[in-house]
Amino acid sequence: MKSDEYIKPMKIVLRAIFGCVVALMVSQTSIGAAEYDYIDISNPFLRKIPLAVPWFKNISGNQDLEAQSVKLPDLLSDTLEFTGYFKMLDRQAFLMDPKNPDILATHINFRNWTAIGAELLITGGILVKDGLMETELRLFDTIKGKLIIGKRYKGGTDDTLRMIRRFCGEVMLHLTGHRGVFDSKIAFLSSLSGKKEIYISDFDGHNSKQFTRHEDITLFPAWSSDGKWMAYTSYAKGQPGLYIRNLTKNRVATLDKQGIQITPAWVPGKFELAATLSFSGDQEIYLLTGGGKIIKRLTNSRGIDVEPTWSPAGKQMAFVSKRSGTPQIYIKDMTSGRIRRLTFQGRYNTQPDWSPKGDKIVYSAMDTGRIDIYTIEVDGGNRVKLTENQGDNEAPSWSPDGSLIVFNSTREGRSKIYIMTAFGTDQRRLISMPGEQTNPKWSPSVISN
Amino acid sequence: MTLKMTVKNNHRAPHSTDSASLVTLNGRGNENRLIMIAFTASLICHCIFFSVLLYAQTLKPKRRHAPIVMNVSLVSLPEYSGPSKQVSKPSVSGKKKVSKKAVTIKKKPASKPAVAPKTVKKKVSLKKKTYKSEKVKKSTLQKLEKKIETTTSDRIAKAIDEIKAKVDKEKERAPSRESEAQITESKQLGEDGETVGGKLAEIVDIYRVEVAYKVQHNWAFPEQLADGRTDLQTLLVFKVMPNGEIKDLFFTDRSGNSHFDESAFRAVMKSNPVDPHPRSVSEPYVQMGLRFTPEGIQ
Repeated sequence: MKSDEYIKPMKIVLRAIFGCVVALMVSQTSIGAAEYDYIDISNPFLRKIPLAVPWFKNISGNQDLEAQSVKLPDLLSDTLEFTGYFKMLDRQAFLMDPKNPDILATHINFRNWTAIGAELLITGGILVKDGLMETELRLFDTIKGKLIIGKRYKGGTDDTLRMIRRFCGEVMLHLTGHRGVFDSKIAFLSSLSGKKEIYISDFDGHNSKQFTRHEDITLFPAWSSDGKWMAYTSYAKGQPGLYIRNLTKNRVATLDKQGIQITPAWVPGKFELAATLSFSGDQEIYLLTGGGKIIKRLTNSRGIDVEPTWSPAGKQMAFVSKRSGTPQIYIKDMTSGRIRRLTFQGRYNTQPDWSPKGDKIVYSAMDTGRIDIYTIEVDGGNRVKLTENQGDNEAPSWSPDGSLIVFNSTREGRSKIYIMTAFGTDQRRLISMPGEQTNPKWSPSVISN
Repeated sequence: MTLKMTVKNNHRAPHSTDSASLVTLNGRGNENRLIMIAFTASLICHCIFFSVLLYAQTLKPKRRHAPIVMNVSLVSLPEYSGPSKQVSKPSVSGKKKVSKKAVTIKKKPASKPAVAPKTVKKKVSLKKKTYKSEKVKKSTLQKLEKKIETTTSDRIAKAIDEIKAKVDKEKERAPSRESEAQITESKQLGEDGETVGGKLAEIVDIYRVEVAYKVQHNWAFPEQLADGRTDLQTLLVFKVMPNGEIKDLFFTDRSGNSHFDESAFRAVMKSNPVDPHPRSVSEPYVQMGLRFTPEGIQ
């Protein structure tokens, strides 16, 4: 018995010691897990990805391609720089022979590119084969020394622009998950011919062409989601009437109703559109077929209801209403029919455009006598002013990837078309054209170049 | 220690066996009991010894390391100017000395130039009455000579003062180097005084901030890729070898935005190699942890 009495306390002591040792070891491991001292870095020094695009290699050695080997990389650089995602590195800083660029991963010394700060590298090679031009384009990760994208395009010499834009789309797809804006166009109003007519240009403002020839005031261009139709308002018949026009075929539909017919907006994925009609006496928004037939009335309130814009899924519609006394933006849920007010700040909030990403609405608002562009989240939070102290800025429209916004501004005197990133940075003029340009609308990314 | 303890226990064992022998008359039982007691005693001692060792290990780095999270505003951080601040003060005092000397030098000619205007005044009067061109020439020559003297003496004085300032700077630097050397020596000798440890920790922390600054300088991230989110957070950990080489880079936490994570990773990779360790740091590597957030974008 006594031995048991002796052993028992020993066991207790042993257990206690074992427990202490285990506890110490656990505390040791926990200290090991949290031993790193983290220094906060919250502000990237560069807001764009440094990209190097050396001259293309003339693979076939054809003298006619020498000019292309310089022109095409410039075109590629300009196209990618337009997106606002990239900082193009100066070719004079490149540590390579500009006339004999290495275009394959096996030959490229990636340290030469990381040394000048490049994170991405695009190499190109061009040759003529069987009368067709072949362009090899490769995107490399210089940090990892890896090929990301490699494409070979064949076509006529006139197709080089398409080849370059197609590859730029691949680059953007890799970077953002979206092909970018390279397959899109911009419609806008211009007084170039003396009357306000609709013009259509490439996404970068080049290659502008007149679309309407009503020789009267034309307003509110609106692209269908397949990019094949455009709805707009024209005063050609005296009153502002709605026109639904095919872009390639000579097909036009009009609406047989009295009163004004303004601010059309196509329903995403459908051959239907919403527009404001006043045949009932009050300006209300109606849902119409692409053929110009009324499907149903969408708003019903005293005071004007105008400028509808659809959520990407087409389940909600934002619009401007004066039901509270001042023009404010409201959102209607199409399933429940419930309407809620989105904007509460300021007395003049108009021209909403729903982001293709679905999270934000861009609009113009008058504040302290000036009209500026704002974004607001769909739930009404995080209102951000994108333009300031630069004339009046109006009619914002999202790019199809939601990364850019096109708008018109009087910052240089007469109203001109400008673009900026979705965060208000990189504001620059897009279209150089005599006369006044207003009301730009960015098309979806479905139009082939 | 452990051996002594076991011997003591062995001595105690016979006393305890008296009571135990009543129950277990077998001699083997006594032996087993003795072995067990000796074993437990030695085990206890071992446990205490190792636990003390473990505890001591945890204490060591705690003294040296900075707080777990250091909020460093890297935007407003100027380039490392630790020594320059120290240097700037003496240079100011040096300048003061210069001015004093310059004043003393100027004072001597100042008395004569003070006469010079009088001669000029006389010259005006002489023009009408007795114009002595030679005197005027002499006085102007004297003036010029004095001017040259003062200017040259000023320059020389300035040069001397500059040299003095340089010497002062070197003198000031020298003790700091000595202190650095002392730190390394003391470290090598195993002296781990609080002040030395504190200085070392400071030096390592400054070095860490320098590395972080370089990484931040190489961090490229377009705001569009953040999708307007400011709550992203990526934690990266790596080692900086004495030659500045970055090794063992890995994520301890990812933001969920692959573009953001990738940009942080690239920033560190682009910074490789960073500056070598400061001379006073004799660690095999400096452990770095960086927390990337897009808060500064908007």
